[in-house]
Amino acid sequence: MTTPLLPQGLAIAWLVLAVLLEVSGTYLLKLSDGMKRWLTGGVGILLVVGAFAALAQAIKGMDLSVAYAVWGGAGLVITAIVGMLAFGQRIRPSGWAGIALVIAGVVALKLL
Amino acid sequence: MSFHWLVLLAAIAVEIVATAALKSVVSAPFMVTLLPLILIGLSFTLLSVALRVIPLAVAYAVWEGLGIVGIAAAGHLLFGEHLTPTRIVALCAIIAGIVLLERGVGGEAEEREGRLA
Repeated sequence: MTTPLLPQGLAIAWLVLAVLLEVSGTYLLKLSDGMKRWLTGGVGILLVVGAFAALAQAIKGMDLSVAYAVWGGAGLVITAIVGMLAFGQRIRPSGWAGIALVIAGVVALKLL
Repeated sequence: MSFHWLVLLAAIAVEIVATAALKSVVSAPFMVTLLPLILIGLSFTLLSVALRVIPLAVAYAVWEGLGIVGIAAAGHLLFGEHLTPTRIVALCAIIAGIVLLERGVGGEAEEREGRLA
C-alpha cells in the first residue's frame, strides 16, 4: 500500500480489537451447536460482523494479506490457549510447535 | 465430497469475497460498506452448518489455511500488494503452524475416543 489512510499504530489497535471480537464471536458460534441455539449463534455472528468492521478500519493502514493472516493466526492461537486455561484442553508438543510457528510467521510478516 | 464439505468450501469462498470487498469499499458510502458485513454473516452461518458434521479442528485449519492463501492472492492480484519472498515464507509458516496447532490440541471428543491415551 503506497498511501496509508491511517497511521500504523492505530491500524494495529483496530486489528487487536478485531482479534478479540473474533475470538469471542467464534466461541459463541461453537456454543450455538450448529445454530440449534439460535440466540447464542446470533450474538456470535454479530460479534464476528463487529470483528470485520474493526478489520475494515485496520486495513486502511496495512496490507489486506498481512492483516488477514495476523488476524486468523492470532485468533487461533488465543482460542487454543483459552481452551487450555478455561476448559482443560490438552495441547500436545506438536500443538506448541504450531503455536510457535504461527507467532514466528506473524512477527515476520509485521517486522520484515 | 459430502454436502457438509461443499458447505464449508462455500463458506470459505464467501469469506474471501467478503474480505476482498471490505478492502474495495473502505472509502465508499456507509450503506455500501454494509455489504461485506452481510456477506460475512452469511459465511459464518454456512460455517456453523458445516460444523454439524465436520470436526471443528479440521474445519478451522481448512478455513484459516485456504482463507489466508485466497486473501493473499486477492491482495496481490486485485490490490497490487507485494508478495515478497519473506511474506510468502511467513504465510507458509502460519499455515503450517495452524495445521500443527489443530492436530496438536486435544478436545473432549478426542479424549472420549481414546486417541490421547
